[in-house]
Amino acid sequence: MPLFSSPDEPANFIKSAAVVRGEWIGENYPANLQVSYWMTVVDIDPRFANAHSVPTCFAFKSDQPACDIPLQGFGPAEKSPATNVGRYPPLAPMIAGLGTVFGVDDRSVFAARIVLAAVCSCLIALGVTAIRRRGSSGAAVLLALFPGSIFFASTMSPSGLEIAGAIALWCGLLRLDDGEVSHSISWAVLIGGIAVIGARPVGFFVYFLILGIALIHDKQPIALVRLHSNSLILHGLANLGMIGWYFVVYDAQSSRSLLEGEAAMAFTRQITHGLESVPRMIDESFGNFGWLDTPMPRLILYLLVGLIAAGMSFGLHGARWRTFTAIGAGLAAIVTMVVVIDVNYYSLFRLFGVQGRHVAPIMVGVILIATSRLDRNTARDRALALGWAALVGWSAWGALRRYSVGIRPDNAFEMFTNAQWSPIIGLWPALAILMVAPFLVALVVTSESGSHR
Amino acid sequence: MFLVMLTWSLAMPLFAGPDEPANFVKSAAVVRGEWVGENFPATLQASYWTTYVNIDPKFGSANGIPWCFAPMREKSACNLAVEDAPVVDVPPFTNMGRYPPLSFLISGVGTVFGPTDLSVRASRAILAGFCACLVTMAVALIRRRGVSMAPLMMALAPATVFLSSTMSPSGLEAAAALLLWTSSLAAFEESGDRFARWSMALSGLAVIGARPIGAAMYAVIVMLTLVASGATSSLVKQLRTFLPMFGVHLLGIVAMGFWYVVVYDAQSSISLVADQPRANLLDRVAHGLASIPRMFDEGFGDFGWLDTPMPRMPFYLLLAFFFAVVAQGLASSHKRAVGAVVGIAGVVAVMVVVIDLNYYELFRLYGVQGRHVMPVLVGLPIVAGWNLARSRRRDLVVAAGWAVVMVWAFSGALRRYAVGIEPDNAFDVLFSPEWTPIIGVMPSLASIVVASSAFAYFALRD
Repeated sequence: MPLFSSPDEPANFIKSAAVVRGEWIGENYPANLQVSYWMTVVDIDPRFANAHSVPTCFAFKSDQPACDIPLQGFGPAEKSPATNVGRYPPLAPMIAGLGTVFGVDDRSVFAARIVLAAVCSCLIALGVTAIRRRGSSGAAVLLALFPGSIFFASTMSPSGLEIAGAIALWCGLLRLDDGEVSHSISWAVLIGGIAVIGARPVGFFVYFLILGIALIHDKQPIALVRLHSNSLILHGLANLGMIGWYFVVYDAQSSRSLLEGEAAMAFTRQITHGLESVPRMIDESFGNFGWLDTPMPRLILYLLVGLIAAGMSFGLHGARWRTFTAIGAGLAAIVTMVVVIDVNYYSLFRLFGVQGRHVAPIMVGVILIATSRLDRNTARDRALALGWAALVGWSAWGALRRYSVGIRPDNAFEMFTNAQWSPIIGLWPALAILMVAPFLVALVVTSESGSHR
Repeated sequence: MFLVMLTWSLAMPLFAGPDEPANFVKSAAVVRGEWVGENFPATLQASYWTTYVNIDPKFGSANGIPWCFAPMREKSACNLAVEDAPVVDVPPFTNMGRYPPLSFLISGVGTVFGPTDLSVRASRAILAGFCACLVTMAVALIRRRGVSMAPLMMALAPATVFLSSTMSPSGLEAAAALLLWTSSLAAFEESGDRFARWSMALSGLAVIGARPIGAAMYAVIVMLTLVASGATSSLVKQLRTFLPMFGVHLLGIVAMGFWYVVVYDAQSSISLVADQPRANLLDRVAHGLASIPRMFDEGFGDFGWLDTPMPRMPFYLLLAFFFAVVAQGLASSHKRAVGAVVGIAGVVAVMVVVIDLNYYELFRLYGVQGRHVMPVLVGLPIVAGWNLARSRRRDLVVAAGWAVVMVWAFSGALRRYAVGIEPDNAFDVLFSPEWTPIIGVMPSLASIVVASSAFAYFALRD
């Protein structure tokens, strides 16, 4: 994917570079509607600010191919760089920031992406291991691993870390009633929980939501405390830290809306808008890549919905009612979150702004709850995994097409004959890897090796 | 099912179905002896199949009615009665003039009340009644086998119900195809089942006669059900049992082939745009392939003149249920059923591309619609789930889900006609409708809830 093609990736890059250079927040930038409430100015090499200029030639323009403007190609900059995620929590930038060791250079962006992607991969692998330890199929994790999540995890976005953390946490928490934990399950809960709590400003809220829904599913609060006491203590401390961060740092300017007192549309209409946004959450979390300017091809989206539904239907065979209750609670949580986030955005900007990635951590949980008892080592779980691999590869092809030739009517195959932009590793090698890698993942995840309990 | 269809029929504005004015004029003409009418020279505006029909010109008023709301989804419907609308053409024309007469013969019976709204409603109700009978026969066939009703419910998407309720040959075609898939599988499985054979005979004729390429649809359905049932060899042994039915179907195919060549294709065999430049074949094929997901949108529920999309949430729900039921069905199927399902998917993809290419040849526009592939698409859950055993909980969830989707889709359509689709006005239909159906908004909603729940309940009952 082109550099800075992920939502807010320039701001995340600057924040990452700043955090590992000791600038955890930076200097306040007065809130205004253009730059939002959370911008700060960070005291690092001013040339990092050029990151903001790179994606302007293609972001939000689905019909335009990407362009190769190297970060180091810009001239010197004068002012200290600003980042509009300045007041966001430092966990994800701290990880990605390690990659910025190469300075103001494209290599830093790639390295930052790779470091964060590696951490996210570990979290997902922990999730797979945890769910397999309990005798379930790793295909369950694959079904919850949307192409959109893979994209975020690959492009320096805290949302990628949050979703990967949520997958690990869900996998560790589900099926508590089995009454035993392995190291991988403990690690999945511990690290997944920390990632969820620390990735985004409302991480603590998402964490409690996951915990609550998992308890509705398993009804084992005592087992939870007994099996994961150390993790829960650490999570408690992390939650305290992040709640403090929220009120002291994040909310410092947004606690009072810039639009307070200005006319707003009726509250019922705001709620209606939120409710009408719910299906868009599926579109975006499953795979609207880039700056929400790279929608996954519709057929893949529909087939992915179908594949997940098929997996859920198999997983729910013989499920207890409390599983359905937990799924219902998860769905209700998603709808409520969508409405609340939308109404909150409206109060801050007079615009609606909920996105699929905001509710994806709960969405993956609903799928994992339904599929957590999917049998291992069956033709069915392999078919589901291979179906997932095909759809992930296909969606990667769709994203590559958008960046190589732009999305224009009937140009689906033009990327093979007339690509105007190619990834750094070349179009064909990138396509080959993106097509083959998911199949390898599917084969490994559903392989018979790996201990059962 | 008739109550579900009747509710849709009464709650949707008159002429809200695609080409419904033309279908109404054609229906009135056919039952008055004007099976084709006089030729109307082909133009790109009037298409290749328009004819003048020598009936009361007042019937032609229908052609001017829906344009106050179709295809403008943000506009609410308007209540212009046929009897009050101005006469627009003498003699009236219908751009369905060269289409086969079968479905118009049925709906035409309702035009006995002359050029009035009552005629339109009666025509809709009669065609809906016929379609409901076809669906009910399919339900009866499934019940006799004692297997799950879930696949059939998934085949019965809101779009099928809408089209069946609004005087459209596509509604008849989809309902008949649904019965043909079911009855063919049942008849090939148990050749002694007279009800299955009679159902197959009736639905086969309806599929063949409903639309111009009905014979091709029939052939595809019968071939794929043969593959799915593995009955090829036993069919040869049982040929005597099936011979009368196939004989009748063959007569229907011959008649429709004749109609196609002599009537339907009389003007379209030479394209009006033959001399215009065209996109290269690869781009045209790519366009067709890119249209496949739209077939789901429209085949599940883009109502009206494709200006009333089903709300996305019930669409996703239906999509999820559809695939879940297909997957559950395939898990309990023979390999040949899996092969038939793959065949159905392949045929749908090929049809989309071929129809799109054909439209492009005729108009330099692409025009494939979900309803064109629905007769084949409805076979997907039926074939996949043919041997799906009953499961009280799963069937309950699917039946409840089907009813929820039906009510939600209906509410979405009602909202579109009552207030138009504008941002954040989903609930205005309840409080400040600008248009109301003849039976009122709340009674319509109550009726669809009761009717859908009742159908789901009876479909579930042992």
